[in-house]
Amino acid sequence: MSGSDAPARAWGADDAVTHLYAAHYRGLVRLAALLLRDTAVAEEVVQDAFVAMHGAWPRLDDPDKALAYLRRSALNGARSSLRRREVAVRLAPAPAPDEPSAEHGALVALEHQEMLRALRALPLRQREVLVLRYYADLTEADIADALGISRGAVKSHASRGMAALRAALEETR
Amino acid sequence: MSTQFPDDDPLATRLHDALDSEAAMVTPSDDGLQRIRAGVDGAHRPWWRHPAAIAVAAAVALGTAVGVGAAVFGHDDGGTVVATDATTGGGTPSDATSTPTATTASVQPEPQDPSITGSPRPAGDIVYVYWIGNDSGQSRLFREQVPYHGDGGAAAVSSALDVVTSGHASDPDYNTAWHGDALGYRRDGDTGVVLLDNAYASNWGSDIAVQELVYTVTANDPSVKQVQFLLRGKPAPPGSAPLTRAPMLDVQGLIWLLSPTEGATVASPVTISGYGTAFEGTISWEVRKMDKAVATDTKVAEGHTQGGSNGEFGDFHDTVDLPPGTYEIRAFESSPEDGSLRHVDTKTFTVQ
Repeated sequence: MSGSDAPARAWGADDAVTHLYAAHYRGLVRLAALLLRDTAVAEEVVQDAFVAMHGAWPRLDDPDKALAYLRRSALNGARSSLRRREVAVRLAPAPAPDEPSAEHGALVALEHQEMLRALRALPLRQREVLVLRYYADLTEADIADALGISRGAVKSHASRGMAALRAALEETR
Repeated sequence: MSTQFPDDDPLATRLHDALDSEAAMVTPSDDGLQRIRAGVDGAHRPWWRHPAAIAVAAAVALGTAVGVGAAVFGHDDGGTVVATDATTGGGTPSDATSTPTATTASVQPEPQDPSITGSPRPAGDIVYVYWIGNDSGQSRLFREQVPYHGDGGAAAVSSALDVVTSGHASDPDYNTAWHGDALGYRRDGDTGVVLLDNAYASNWGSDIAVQELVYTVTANDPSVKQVQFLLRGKPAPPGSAPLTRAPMLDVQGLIWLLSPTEGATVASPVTISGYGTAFEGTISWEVRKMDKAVATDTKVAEGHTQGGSNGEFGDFHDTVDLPPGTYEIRAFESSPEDGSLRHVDTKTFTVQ
């Protein structure tokens, strides 16, 4: 999952930010937005992660490590932001960030919304694991690293999350 | 594509499609790189004057029911920028009254010397590590013990801090605000000195993050009564006095399940023990067995025991006979209002 083919060894911190921004900013914002349901906050969280990565670059000095670092700090940022929001969200569920666009078949859009609603009802850890797996396509090892948990925990969160999704979706049939 | 998860599952495909379509609707604005560069430049200013740090502090105040922030930051001179913004910036009364633990928090503790801790000191070959967990919707501190063979004092504290920054809690429900760069540590009289770098700047506004370290440091060296944070050799925030522990009732998870530990293999009868406080001291527990074939779990045992009450924390113990297998145990308070489960702590373990 290297950020670029450029000779990374020669990068300074500013170059690292520029290259990794081009390759991964959008993806990281989308990842954070799936968890946060708020594009503006997702952007802030990811920007903070880049600023922190700039400071840490002399120690990282490697695009792969830097990407892992960005992912970890974006996820940490998203998690703290969610914690702060928890109470408010429970009282007034946030609206979906955007309406499904018109080109979506109505039925497909409906099915997606149903799935996303079920996903949002899961505990945060399960949600994180499923989004990293099925949106970001990360391996079990990368998910464990991104979340700072064991691979066994990744496995158990994934299987519990999928079981809960399955149960929730069957209920609405 | 990884093969570690069953990708031929139609549900997985549907989830993937739903996430993809949701993600495709997210369009970041064009000025991201500009804002990152401004942030990088801003990092060269003292970061506590940085708008982002103040915004974080204010946002944390919004979601915080317990008023530790003011107590923690209130006694310094130069650092009141953060403290003032945190306490007056965004907090609204409704936030404070709507948290699930409001009833417990309203039991006013006697003013106590926060340097005197009710939680036991580690003995023998372990260190204590504090993590942040979700306690009925509130971020609170939970403790794990980690094997340690070495000198006591500063060496034990450093080792505990290394575990914190590794982010590897045994219990997957726990987390840390300090996952990343190693923290420096030394002892200076009765003050533990923690050396930070800029990567942790955004933590400063979070009282629970700060207390995670204050608790970890003071738990592992009985001679340390207070903790000073230094950023590039200067007190952070500037001029600030060292911090003592916030009252346990404000920051500590109300029920800790300490045994069995996460992932442990034990013999039956299984010893259940923990530390906590609950209405009338009644700590409830239940053991559930996961059936992988149908992905459901069934309650196989339950009971009650006595812990601390009225804002006092206390040890609790019980035992349960179980046939061999893998189980999840949860300890909790049964709400006196509606019987719902509150302050739940869970562990997964195996009986031989």
